Amino acid sequence: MNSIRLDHKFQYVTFRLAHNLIGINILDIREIVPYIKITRIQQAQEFILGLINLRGQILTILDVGVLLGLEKRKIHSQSHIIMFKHKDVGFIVDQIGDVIGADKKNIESIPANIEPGTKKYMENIINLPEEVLMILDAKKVLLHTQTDDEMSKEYS
Amino acid sequence: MSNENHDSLDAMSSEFIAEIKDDLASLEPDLLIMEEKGANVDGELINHAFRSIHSIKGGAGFINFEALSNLSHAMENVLMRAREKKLVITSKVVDALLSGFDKMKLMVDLIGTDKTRDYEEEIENLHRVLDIEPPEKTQGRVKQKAKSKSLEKTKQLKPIEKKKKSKKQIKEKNGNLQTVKPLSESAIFKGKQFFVDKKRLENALSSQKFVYAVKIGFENDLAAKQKDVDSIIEDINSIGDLLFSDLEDSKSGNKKDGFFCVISTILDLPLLSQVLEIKKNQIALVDRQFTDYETILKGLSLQVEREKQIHPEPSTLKGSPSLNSTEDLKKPIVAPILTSPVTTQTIRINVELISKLMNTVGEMALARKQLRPLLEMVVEENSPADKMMQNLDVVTTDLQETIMQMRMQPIIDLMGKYKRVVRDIARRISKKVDLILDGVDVEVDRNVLEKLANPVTHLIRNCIDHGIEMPQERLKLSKPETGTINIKSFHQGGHVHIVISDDGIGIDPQMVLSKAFEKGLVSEDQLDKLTNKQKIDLIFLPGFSTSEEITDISGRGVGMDVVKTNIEKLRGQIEIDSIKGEGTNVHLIIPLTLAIVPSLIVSAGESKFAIPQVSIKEVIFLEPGEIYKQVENIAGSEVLRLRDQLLPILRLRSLLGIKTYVQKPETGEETEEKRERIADRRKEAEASDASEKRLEKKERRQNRWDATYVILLKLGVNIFGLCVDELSDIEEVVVEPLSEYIKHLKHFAGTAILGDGDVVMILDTPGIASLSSLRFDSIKNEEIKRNQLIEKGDDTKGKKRSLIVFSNGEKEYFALELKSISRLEPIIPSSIHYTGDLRYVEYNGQAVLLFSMNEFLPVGECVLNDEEVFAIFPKHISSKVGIIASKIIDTFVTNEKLKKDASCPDSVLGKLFIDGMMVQVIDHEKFVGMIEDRTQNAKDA
Repeated sequence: MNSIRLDHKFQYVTFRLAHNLIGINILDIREIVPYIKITRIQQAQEFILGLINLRGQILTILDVGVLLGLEKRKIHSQSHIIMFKHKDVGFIVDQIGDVIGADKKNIESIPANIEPGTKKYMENIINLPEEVLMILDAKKVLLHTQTDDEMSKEYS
Repeated sequence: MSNENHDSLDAMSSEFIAEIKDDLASLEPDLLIMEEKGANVDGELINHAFRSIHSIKGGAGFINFEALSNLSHAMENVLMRAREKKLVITSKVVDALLSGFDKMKLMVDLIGTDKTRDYEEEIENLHRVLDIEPPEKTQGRVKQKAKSKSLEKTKQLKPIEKKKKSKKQIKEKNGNLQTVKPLSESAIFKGKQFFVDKKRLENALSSQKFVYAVKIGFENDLAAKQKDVDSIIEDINSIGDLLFSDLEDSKSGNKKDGFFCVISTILDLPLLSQVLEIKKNQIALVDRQFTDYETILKGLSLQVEREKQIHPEPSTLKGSPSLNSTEDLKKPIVAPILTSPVTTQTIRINVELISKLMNTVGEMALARKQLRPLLEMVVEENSPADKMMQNLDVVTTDLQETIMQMRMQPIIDLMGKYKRVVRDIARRISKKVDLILDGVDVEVDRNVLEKLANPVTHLIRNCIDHGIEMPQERLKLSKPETGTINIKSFHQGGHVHIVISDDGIGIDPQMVLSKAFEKGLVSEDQLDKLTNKQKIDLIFLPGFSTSEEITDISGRGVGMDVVKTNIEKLRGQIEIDSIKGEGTNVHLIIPLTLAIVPSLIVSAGESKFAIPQVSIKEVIFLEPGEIYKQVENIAGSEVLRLRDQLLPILRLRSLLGIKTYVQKPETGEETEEKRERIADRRKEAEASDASEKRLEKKERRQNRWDATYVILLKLGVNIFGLCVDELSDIEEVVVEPLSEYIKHLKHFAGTAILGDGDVVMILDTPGIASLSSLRFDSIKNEEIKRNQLIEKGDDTKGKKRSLIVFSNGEKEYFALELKSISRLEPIIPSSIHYTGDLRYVEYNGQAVLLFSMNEFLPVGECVLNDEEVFAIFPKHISSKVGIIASKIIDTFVTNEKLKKDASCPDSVLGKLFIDGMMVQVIDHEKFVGMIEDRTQNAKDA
């Protein structure tokens, strides 16, 4: 993986979710914390993992893996929670990777064969030498989970 | 409200608006008391109201809110007249004032918007009260009946000339002029108002000067003292500034006796009077449209008071204010403001800030809690660190309590408003009602107080509209003509209790019932089953309204149902009881605060939940034996049979789909623990019962998985049970709202962080009920049906009995009520003495006749085993008689209904199942009769 190069225009925090390498714009996140005990919320939607107590603040934790349609994973010692910057919401990841810098030219659009369900939450991809990095779009994640929520409200 | 600095509400203006609101708030109660007292109104009260309205006017003037200023001015005039005793306070007057007050309130709410309110009508009302013509629109200002109208007119039309050459000539529009009025009741200043250069007035005030209006008489003050106009002006200039004089006017006009001037000076009134050699009653403080008016007056009034004692001057001090208006002259000039208003030391704080502070302190308390066990591990007892920890405990607790208190508001803040509500409604429907408030200093969290407003208003409306009878009706019923509504608030057991009672007509349970039946809210078979209390409680059902006709006050059919919901939202309770013809009591029990909720922490599977204590009625521990007896299955739903009631029970696990994982949840391997319905477990219990000996509960109690707690939750009048696995603790949790992702989950009321830092969901009772679609009606009906079935056979329904159960041999069980036996004596069968077919036993040197059950009842013969049998000695028998029992099983307390069928002999009350035994409960009276017969026979024989 690339080392941190601050001269790049975009910087992404990378993480692993069910073996996929995914990145998120560093400006969209507030903090990364090691796994904290998550309280489940019964009858909530599947992508809502539960609540955590982060320094006295109760925050909602999502499972982005469910949103992206990835396989179910277990929580283990490497699990981390990434908190979004503009909302009291976070999501759990399997492993935190490096911060990767990228220029505009490295950024490519999402391949056409990616499932629309997954595509919905992605910004674009970056072609790294070893691997392809999917860039998660924080806005879309928050927006879509929100609208899903609104919908579920209607039939609940 | 057309003004330049009005579009942008700066900080200053909002201060003023806040003050205006405060003044408005204090005005209303005054007006109401004024009405109550009518003509006997106390001068101080009028003054207080006057001051409030005056400050409003001042504030309005400051922010250039002309409409408000004009309206308050009109109201001020009315009050002024009242103060002068020229106007008797009647309901009509107060009505006019209140209507003005209402409009002012509306106006204040509209400050900052472009909207404005039409206030002509109110002004007109106020004028009508004063019996004067509405003004000919002289800048919206109302003139008082002035002594010299003509003079005033010229003043208003003509720009004012300034006497002093050194002063700037003011020849501007009225906009730059400030109207000032002498604050005096003396006839000299009656109806006077002067126009003063605003800037100069403001300058004078900002340098803490007093502003006076002075009447200088040509004859008395100048000629008699060898002075002329110039010399007095010079005198004035030597001690202060001349802001205005009408010297020119009085010279040009016909006014010969003197002229008026307005001066600003640092001298107080008595001193000024001395310096200028002008009588005190010719000097008056000027009524300025400024809010610091009161502070200055306060200071002054104190001085005047002091002065009064030193040189009593007849013209200002003699005589208390009399009703005679001709004596106005003698009234003390500043008497009305002698008593300074109560000052409370308060500051305004943003509520959000307090909430934030409270959260932070909560966090601190939590951190302390978490630190404590860690510290205890490493720190020895009584070490300095331990002491510091204790100190920290005290300080944090203290801090928390103080901040809690900051959010508290006395309940009067709410209740005070009802004086007006009661008055208005009562007047509208021409009833006479008094509102008595009790315990108004009880403090409640402001959130709670806000949310109480609606339901309490509704209840009070109900009291007046439905409760209190018309005056003539009340007289007929030999009740006082004026009805009374009493609101009593007090603290009890961590709750605030509010009791709203009236002495009105009360609620007729029968009427409620028939109404409910009419509306299909009660089923037919319920009709004669309900107690009076239950009948009254029917008014809480949605869609219920007893009022014959719908008025605009209450009776829209949404009433009590909504009240109840609102109170329950506050985690409160409402109870109503009423005696027909005597009145109604509504009892509200409200938690002190919404933020902190004492909750029971329960768990189901791996998950913990908090259940607010207020919604818990009781907690029941179920053990297999009990399950067998208590849990039944009605058409697939489980119900708990508890003290004659059938309560629906829900299982938290299945309700929320909580699975029990055999392995850690992290592994994701979900091996579900497949438990079936509790009622199904019964079968197992039965099966095991057959092999096991009965009544050996201990062993089973140790079986953890079979033990379930049932939390009985209150949902209005209904109760349902919620089965949980474990109870862990009672904690005071700080409720936090659900995040937007989960706020649609109605079965959770919120989230909270426990003392150990864990996040729990708080269960919401109504939410759970609706999640499982509990329908209380159907269950109730079922219960009633059952009761009926049982009642057919036995009318001593549900009586609580203490029974002693004994056996007469194999599987024949009998029970006697404990109260009907005197002794229980173990006897050895070999010590039984036989005489013919009679059996005796020696007891205390006496021969006691023994009978066995089969001698009275068609039952098997008593089996006497070799070791030990028992003799039961029943009470109320003339001679000593014992009943042989082969075994005493146990004593039981039960209120289960006895089932009597055709096979039951007369002397048996009925059959009962206790722990799988069929027990025949013996009718003691009949049984005793039989025994007496037998002993008689024995004697005869």
